[in-house]
Amino acid sequence: MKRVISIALAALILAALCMTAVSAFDNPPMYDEAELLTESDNREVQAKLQEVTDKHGVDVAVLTVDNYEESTIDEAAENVCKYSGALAEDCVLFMISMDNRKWCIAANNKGHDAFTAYGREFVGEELKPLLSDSDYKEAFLGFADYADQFLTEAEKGTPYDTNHKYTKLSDVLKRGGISLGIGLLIAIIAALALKSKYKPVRFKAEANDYLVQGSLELRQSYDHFLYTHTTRTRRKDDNDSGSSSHDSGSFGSSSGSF
Amino acid sequence: MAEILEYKCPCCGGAINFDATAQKMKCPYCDSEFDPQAFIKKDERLSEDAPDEFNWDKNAGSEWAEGETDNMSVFICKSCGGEIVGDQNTAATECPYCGNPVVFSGRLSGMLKPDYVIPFKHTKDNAKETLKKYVSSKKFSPSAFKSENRLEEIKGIYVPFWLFDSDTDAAISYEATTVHTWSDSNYDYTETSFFDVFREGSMRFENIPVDGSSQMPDDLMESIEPFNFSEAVDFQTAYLAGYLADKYDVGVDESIERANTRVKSSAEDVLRSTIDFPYATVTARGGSIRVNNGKAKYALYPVWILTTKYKDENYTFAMNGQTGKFVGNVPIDGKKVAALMAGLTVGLGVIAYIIINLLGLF
Repeated sequence: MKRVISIALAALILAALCMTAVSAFDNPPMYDEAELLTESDNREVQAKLQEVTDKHGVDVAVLTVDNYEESTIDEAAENVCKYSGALAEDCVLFMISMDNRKWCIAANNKGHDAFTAYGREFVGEELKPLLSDSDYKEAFLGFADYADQFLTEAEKGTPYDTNHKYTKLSDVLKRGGISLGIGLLIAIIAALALKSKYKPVRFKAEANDYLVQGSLELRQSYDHFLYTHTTRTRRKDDNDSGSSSHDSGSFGSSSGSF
Repeated sequence: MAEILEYKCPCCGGAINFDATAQKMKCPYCDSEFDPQAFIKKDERLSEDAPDEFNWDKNAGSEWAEGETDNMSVFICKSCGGEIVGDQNTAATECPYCGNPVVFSGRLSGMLKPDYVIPFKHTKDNAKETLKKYVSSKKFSPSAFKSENRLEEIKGIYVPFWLFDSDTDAAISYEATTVHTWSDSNYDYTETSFFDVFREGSMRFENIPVDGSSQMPDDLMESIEPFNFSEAVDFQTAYLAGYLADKYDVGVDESIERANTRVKSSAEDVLRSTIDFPYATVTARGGSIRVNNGKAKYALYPVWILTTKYKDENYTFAMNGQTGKFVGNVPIDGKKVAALMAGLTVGLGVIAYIIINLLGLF
């Protein structure tokens, strides 16, 4: 009997914990507890998230809060995904906390298949500028778009990951431009070399052909150190993005600051 | 009168003083510190730097012996003024320089007898064949140039050269640098160390040729170098039979400057080659060259001059009559080069794109 009571108490405590951050997440897939969106924007984001959810059979949700009681936003997002009952087992959640300006993308089951650590960090970093600019509606709509594309790619059996990276049009154009630039540079060097080959008549700068071999007699030779000049440049901090990822079984989350 | 000595900071150019506390030369502007010994050494050496000095014995050539020029004639081009020497059997119909008819003038006179001559080793047929191969190998020349280009004239000419021998003393100072880079968690550091490098030595140059004919393009003559002087023989008029011989009209005094320039450049290169330490950069900062026992000789070198015509424009080629080295500028077909560049740009661009994507760059 005591054991049954203990289990029941533990379940109640766990349930209470799960409710802390998400007690009002009763209207998925969009719950704006931090009240960042206007009513019409909220409806627009809601509709978009619902459309993606229905299309893929995976809950695609957004949650905004002022704060949470868990020690990290990853824990808070995990509680929402796995224990709150607000989301299906197959889900992807984009959660932001305004007090400490943290973002987190958490994914479970099929959602986790589509959003690997690479995908979560990539989408988070892409949306971060919008969050920093307080352009929340565009950030949430952008998340829905990315979720649609990532889930579609996963359904094809080729989820975006480190070996199959998401490619933006701007990246394609940038890489294409750089590649053509490299090709053009080499072509110009080749053309100049060709011109030199076709115009070989030129003055000789030196008389090395007429140096008597072995005639060099070195009389004085020294190398004196004069001085040292040191410059330093601040390193670009690889961790400036601040995003970090955790994966455990069929669940994973990534978070960072904005 | 008192003399004011001022040292300049190698870093910023500001005037530097001796800092008694640090016992070093210190720049008040950029706070750089220097070892005074290095400056003293450099100072001593700079004070020793003598101006360049070139001492030449210009007694080149010799007088003709009695009757030696009896079988030689001079042709003077009315158009360009070129003077061509030939034997009496030579029938020059066109000036090898400008293509105009040349006129028989008279007996050879008023010029020095060459000391040496390198006889022709390559024949006229060799020169024609080489021209044909040379032109046909130029894939990016206009197709019409290769098919319509016509050989207008081919002449074997003994070109007058002044040959300069010298024992050369050189003292060159260089500024050299090494670069060391490292990083800590916050910064990337680049440490550039500067060195005063000095080399002094002597070397000998022999038979540096300088074209003694104003009609013969100097760059064309230097492009067919080198000539192998070990095959030169004492001058005999017999070697001129069947060939033209240009008469020098640029004197030894005027030619020395060209030899000095080349000697100076080579001396700097030779001393630089003795710097074994793998410095990141080595830049010559000054020094002096002194030519001792400089001696000039007068020689005739064998050159085939070939003139072709394409679209009313003359193209001149030269072949070293001793070594067979062949040079000449040929036109480039702009359309072919543009097509090559477009192909390379696209082809290499695609390869670069694939590599960039594979490596995940940019």
